[in-house]
Amino acid sequence: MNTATLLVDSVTYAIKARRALSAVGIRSSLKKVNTMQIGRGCRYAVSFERQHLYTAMATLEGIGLAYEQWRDGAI
Amino acid sequence: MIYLDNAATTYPKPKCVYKALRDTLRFAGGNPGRSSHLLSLRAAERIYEARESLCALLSFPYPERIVFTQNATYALNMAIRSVTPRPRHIIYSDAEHNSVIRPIAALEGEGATHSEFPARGDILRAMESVTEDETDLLVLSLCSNVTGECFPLSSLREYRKRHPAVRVILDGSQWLGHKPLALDGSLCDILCAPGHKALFGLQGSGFAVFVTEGSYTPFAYGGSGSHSESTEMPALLPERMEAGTLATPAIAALSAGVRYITDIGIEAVEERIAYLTKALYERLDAVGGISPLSQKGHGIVSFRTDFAPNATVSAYLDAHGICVRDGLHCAPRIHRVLTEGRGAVRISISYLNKIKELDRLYKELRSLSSIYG
Repeated sequence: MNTATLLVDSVTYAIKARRALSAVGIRSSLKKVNTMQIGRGCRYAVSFERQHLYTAMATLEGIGLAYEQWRDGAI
Repeated sequence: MIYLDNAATTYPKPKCVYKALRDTLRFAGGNPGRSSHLLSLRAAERIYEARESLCALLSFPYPERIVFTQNATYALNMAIRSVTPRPRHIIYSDAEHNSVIRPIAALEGEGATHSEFPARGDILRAMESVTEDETDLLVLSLCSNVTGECFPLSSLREYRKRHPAVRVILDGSQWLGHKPLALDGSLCDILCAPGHKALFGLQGSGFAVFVTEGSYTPFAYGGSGSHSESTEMPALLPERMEAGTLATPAIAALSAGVRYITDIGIEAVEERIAYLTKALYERLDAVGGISPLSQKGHGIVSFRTDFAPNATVSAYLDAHGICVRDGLHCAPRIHRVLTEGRGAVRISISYLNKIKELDRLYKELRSLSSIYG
């Protein structure tokens, strides 16, 4: 699957993000990622099909949820 | 056994609570927010569902601002220490529990002062009468754990309007689960409550709702499952305030208890509690020789008798299979006012109590009255 990933700060926000994405029909997966993998410390990666990226970003922005787009390959 | 000590902790719980506890232990036994494996993520989901359940009960739109603790006492300590790290003048009512009185007494060793106001009569005027220029914190129980009297929310909203600089912490211990509450910033900055009372959760569960946005100082420090590279607690709620592993099974059970209430409808629960309380007052009155401390209780009625000491009443009832609580109920100030510090016998009911149980209480109190009277 050609995936896109958004990083959020905690598991609470990750679940909130997944709930919001699900409400607009985007299925996602969740994984905790650590410093060794991303060089930024512990974050939560919410991944979904890349074709939904812009809808997903708009959805999270719509609920005021901060995220960082992961651009450096597979998580 | 007839259990009438529900203000201390409810018993029994609805069946769904036991099921949630068992299912969480068996199928979601990981540590929430610590890993990516199935059991950890399931545990995190259970916690988030509990935040959502409480939001539904409180008509509150921010699940992430619900911080779980082990009880209301911890939540109140955390709230008092985090909302204003160095308070100057704190006001609270004489109906407060030691979970408020003691943390504030500890702050007095650090330079804070406090004033009390009576939780009766014109409460808005009473609050205003002790408010000074330096007052920066009001801590208030929404319902007395001794008299069962409920605080008028309209007075609180008016006080908050007149004194926007005073931060407000509410203790919802005897209110939540028995009365509706639509939570917003017009009421308070932080609401604290236990999970194990009228919300039907387990002992070991409690929470604080950070209603208003702001900079809150962490109360405890430790692992949060996020930002692990930093020596500081995360900036965002709830992880900022949730140091260490949460009690997932207890929180999932609390969530089931809250859903049980919202499925019934909190208004229907309130109506039944009012019905049972009225029936309780009628039966106590019919016994004779019993003086309730208040006639306005909701779910809680404390009394003294003219035929037996408090400890004798509770021991007699215990011997006949009825659980009640005598003493000061961890609320010494209100007992100083209403019982001259001698204490009382407290009957506290839950949604699950039945009229026939109150009939048994009446029968046993009549028997005791005839023995000692």
